[in-house]
Amino acid sequence: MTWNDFWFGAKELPFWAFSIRAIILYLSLIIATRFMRQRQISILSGHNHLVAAGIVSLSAVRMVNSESSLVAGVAIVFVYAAINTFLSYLDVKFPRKIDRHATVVIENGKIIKKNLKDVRITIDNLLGQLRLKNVFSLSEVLYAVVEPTGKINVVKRAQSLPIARKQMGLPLKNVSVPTILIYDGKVQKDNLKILGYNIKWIEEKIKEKGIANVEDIFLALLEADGKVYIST
Amino acid sequence: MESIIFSVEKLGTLGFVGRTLVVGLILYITSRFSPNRAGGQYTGYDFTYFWMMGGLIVSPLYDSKIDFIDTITASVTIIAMHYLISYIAIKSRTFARIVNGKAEVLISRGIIKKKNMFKSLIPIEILFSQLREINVPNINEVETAILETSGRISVLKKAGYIPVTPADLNIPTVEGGLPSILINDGKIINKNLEKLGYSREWLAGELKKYGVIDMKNVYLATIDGSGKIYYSLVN
Repeated sequence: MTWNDFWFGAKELPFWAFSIRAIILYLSLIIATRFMRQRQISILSGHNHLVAAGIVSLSAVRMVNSESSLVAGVAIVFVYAAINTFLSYLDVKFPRKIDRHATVVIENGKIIKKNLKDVRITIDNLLGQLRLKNVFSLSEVLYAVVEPTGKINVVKRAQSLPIARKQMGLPLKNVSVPTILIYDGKVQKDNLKILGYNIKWIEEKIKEKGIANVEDIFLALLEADGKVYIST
Repeated sequence: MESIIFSVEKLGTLGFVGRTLVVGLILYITSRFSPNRAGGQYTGYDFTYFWMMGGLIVSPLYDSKIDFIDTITASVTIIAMHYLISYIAIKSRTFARIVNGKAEVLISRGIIKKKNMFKSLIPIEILFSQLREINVPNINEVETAILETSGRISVLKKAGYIPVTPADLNIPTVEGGLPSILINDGKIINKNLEKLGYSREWLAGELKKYGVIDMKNVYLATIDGSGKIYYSLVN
């Protein structure tokens, strides 16, 4: 086997060549997926779906077909990923032009027959999807929307929602996303700095919990109400 | 038989049926080695792994010239790489950030971050759709929204819109915890019973209180953290 055979394919390749081809194509796809952002991973729209089914399996087949060119395989991956990213970009830039849009199938509690037909959903389908959303009686539904991904989401009537703190007149509490203070025995100095605390403060906090060393802690978080969560 | 496993110019229908059966076997083995991440927290390389393996395993069915030895070599390589990447990602947060990307804040203090929306290629339509998905149809209620590395959006509601909990009203509660299975289809699960420190006689006695004489008639019996027993009979 020459280098030329390896890069551009040949009738016969030694088995380990397939192993290296696999590594190169897998790494290319990981990079390409990062490039296409998070929306690709959870397949948030139609073109994300087509790309997933398209290039990823295509490159898998090229990987084991000795006659196909590896260089062309990698090129296809990146060009196709670029097209997908471009479509996503257009989607952000000109919303509602690229992607399918959401369709309202129940409005103010009334089923819209025409829209139901447009999205080809039977009434049993609709009721089943609502049950999965924990809605067993239609009287509780204010809106039902068929998303571009095909899922159905429900907006319940205010009367059917759990009671919120505001409605009970309870005092407002501080809400924020917790910050990691210690992970795997290491103090996250950057996070501490942002919060305006120093190492001494965290050492005191863990002493209060009866832990001597920072190294013994797997995870420590600062929560919204000022509580420190610690797990060893 | 050889034509099923190895590369051949032409393969008949029966040959391809044979190959399909081999693919089924490989599919089963591969799925045993595939990652199971909690709550759909799949990362970018998991995503690539799954779609790629799907295509790779069936590739001998595309073309009779593709043989199984090469397919298996490539599959084993990818599985090994996936393990390696997962391992390094757990060890090093920096590496994890490179392969997974980082969570992006889309709404902060109720204000939409346009720059981050563009950076993560999320149009407002998708943001709304994802918010409806997690039962927050009204953007007014959102304090923070984060696009996670798995591509899903998580939301922290504004203080006033958080549901009331027993702690707010000082209502005492007992932790139910996770139920353990004690009997399934008439068979006692001794392992769970021992772990909780109960005996078979105790279980028989408890069930008798509910009028269950023969434990063989019980399809499912569980006990939760507070000691409450649930049972359902075979019918």
